[in-house]
Amino acid sequence: MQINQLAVALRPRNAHEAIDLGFMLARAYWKSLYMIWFTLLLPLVILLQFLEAYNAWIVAVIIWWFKPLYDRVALFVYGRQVFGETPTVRDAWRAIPGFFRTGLIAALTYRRIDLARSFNLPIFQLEGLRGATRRARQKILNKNTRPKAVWLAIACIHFESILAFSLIAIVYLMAPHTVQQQVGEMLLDNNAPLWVGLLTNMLYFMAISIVEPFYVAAGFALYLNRRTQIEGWDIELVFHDIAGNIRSSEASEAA
Amino acid sequence: MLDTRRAIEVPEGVTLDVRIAGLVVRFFAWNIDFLIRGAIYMVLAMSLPNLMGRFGLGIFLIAIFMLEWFYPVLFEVFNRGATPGKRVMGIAVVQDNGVPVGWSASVTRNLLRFADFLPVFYGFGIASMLINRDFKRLGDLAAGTIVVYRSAPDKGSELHADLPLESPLPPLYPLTLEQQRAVIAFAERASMLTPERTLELANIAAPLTQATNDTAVKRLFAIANWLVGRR
Amino acid sequence: MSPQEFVARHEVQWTRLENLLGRLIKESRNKKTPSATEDSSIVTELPADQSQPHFSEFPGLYRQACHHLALARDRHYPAGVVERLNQLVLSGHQVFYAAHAGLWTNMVRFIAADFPALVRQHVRFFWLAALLLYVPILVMGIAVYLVPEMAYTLISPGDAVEMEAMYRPTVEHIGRVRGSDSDVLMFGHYIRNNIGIGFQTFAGGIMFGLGSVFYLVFNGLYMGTIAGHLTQFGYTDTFYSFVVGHGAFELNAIVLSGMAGLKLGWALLAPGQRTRQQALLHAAGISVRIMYGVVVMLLIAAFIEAFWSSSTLVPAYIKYIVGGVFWCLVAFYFTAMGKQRAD
Repeated sequence: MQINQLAVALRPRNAHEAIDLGFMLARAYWKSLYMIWFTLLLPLVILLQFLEAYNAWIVAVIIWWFKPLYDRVALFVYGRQVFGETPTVRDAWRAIPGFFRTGLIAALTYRRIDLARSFNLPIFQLEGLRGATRRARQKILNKNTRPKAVWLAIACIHFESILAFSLIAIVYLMAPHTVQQQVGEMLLDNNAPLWVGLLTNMLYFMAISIVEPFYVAAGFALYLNRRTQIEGWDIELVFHDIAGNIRSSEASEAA
Repeated sequence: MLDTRRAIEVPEGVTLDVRIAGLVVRFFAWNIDFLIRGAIYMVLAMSLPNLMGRFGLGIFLIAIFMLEWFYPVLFEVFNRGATPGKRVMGIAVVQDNGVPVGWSASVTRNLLRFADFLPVFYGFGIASMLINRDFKRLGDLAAGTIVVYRSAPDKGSELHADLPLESPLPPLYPLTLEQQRAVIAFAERASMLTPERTLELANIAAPLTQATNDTAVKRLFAIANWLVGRR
Repeated sequence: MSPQEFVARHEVQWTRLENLLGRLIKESRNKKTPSATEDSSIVTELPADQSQPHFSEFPGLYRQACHHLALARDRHYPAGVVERLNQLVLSGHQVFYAAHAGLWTNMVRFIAADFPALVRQHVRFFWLAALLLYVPILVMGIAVYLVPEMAYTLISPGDAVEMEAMYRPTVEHIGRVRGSDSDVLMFGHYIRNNIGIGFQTFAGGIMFGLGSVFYLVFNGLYMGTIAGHLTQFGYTDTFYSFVVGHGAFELNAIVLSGMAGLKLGWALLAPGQRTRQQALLHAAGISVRIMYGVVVMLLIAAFIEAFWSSSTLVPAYIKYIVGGVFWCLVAFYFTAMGKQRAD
């Protein structure tokens, strides 16, 4: 990695501070993220809505299940942005085949429940490691930091459900007084009309779209922090600085 | 450069570095406080009405009211900005200018909890903290407060206790504060780096040490010792 | 000056400051009132040891440390020196600006003068909030009185029956479903509910004032419904004699919470010369002080409601007289108290 081009300030942080930095990262690049996020993912989610007639709950579960795929879109953006490069929708489109070489199938099946998902993702996606090398690498990075990554996931699950319910509650509160009670009952009803399931599922996807980027960015920041810790990235940057300063002052003396 | 660190100018003409605490760590702190309050409710609910009947129930309701609204305020004002939960997580509330939080600011931010709580379980509060660059919820916006990581407790002379000993050596070239810190950090963190990485880093700074490999590492340690004030 | 000379020359002062800080922080934990500058009682207890620094030295030592830190940074002194001074200044800053107590004297002065003066100073918001509460009460009250079915747009028939039970002239304790509930229980109950409503009405103001408007109007409509319903039912004596006493404090306290909330909302809607954030901070500084007063008023209201209003031993006409006195008191308090401080 060209660490001298990083757009985040490097210093060893405690895990919580690293997570905060990740949240800041997600906030800083929300424009380029959402541009790509919605162009790539919204069609997919809308397509899923055709299953709505069959069963609204299954659609919700599928939307949830595909999260590792969304994560790859988000990390693609952050991985570029953090080195000062703003990816376009076209770049992202071209990168899609690459996503399938990042352990996506495993992530969607037997690794779907991994709570440290966003922390481990950079190893698959940015370092492109596989097999034994990947396992060894993951073991080193996970040391000390994995529990924090799991807690991060637990927090984000809460944020996501709170925001999903908040969005639904806002719809309920906005409903005209005369029909409010019916709307409320329908929102909680399993056998509600088609449009209700459509609405709640889209609101759920909105909540995912709000929280998941923060989750991915925080995992990424934890990863960067861990590598800074064990590889002394921050020290390397300043040492290059020192060497450069001394060389240039010696050069000017010689001249 | 993205950073959670903010420099605050204080009247004395120096700058305070504060590190803003974000949504996740505050969520954990809130949960700890919630559990503590829950435990107190349980104890009170089991004891008061049983001991004193309806009178006790009345006292219980008053106690709930006090706990709900003034638990955070009292702790923030009297415990240097930290409820027990915040204390466990190593964070504290301060005012925007770095000054400890006072009565009005604390009361404001805690009364506005009600607005942050809407529409369900702090939905607005979470949204506000995701949007605001200083992770402020609505109460923080109105009160002019931020939540920061407490600076490490004053260690005094124990500072840099884990620096590997080496007879101190002044640097051959003047170093800025940032550069000095990097040299000290290198010495302190060398034990966490792999040996190859330690050598690699030391070799980058070769112009400073006029040496390479193991000698370079040793010299950097020596300079670090000098920089922290050992003679 | 070399760094060593610098350290050697000031070492004594720094250690004294470190020593002082340690004691002050301990002090603030134990005594709850950190007082960096005034501390006569503490000092006399200490041994008259010359080396033990006196608390009054603190401001001077702190300012010096700030100065030394600036120097050390400027001159690129070794990081060890800079970091030590930085730590000193950081803890010194926290102690120096710690909230000074004097809570009780402040509180007395606030209630005796500052609070009514503050309300008069922003009286336009008071009248706006008053209109938003009292007009709905009147309108809804009259409407329900004339068209009884209107009551059920806001309260369910079940609630209505419960209300009727609470104010039936034969009831043992007015305003309570179960007559046997103790006064203290009801006091606790009123504190929780009424102050909660006050806080909601205030906090809603941060949504550009909409929340405050909503809670004022909604509570107004609700109270109007109940008043209209019970009047139409003929339970006038029990109901009005019940509400007149604490109402003086409770209704006006809710108006004041609304006022505080509207002030927040207005700062966001029309920040004027300031940025929105600054305007909000400024308004919140005023609003929160109004809320201090509101809490006191609501406590008084809850007390009256639990121990006086509900009593069936006191005849209704006495309650009306006392209630009238309460209203006059509140009016006098807000119009006349704290005049000399008004500007």
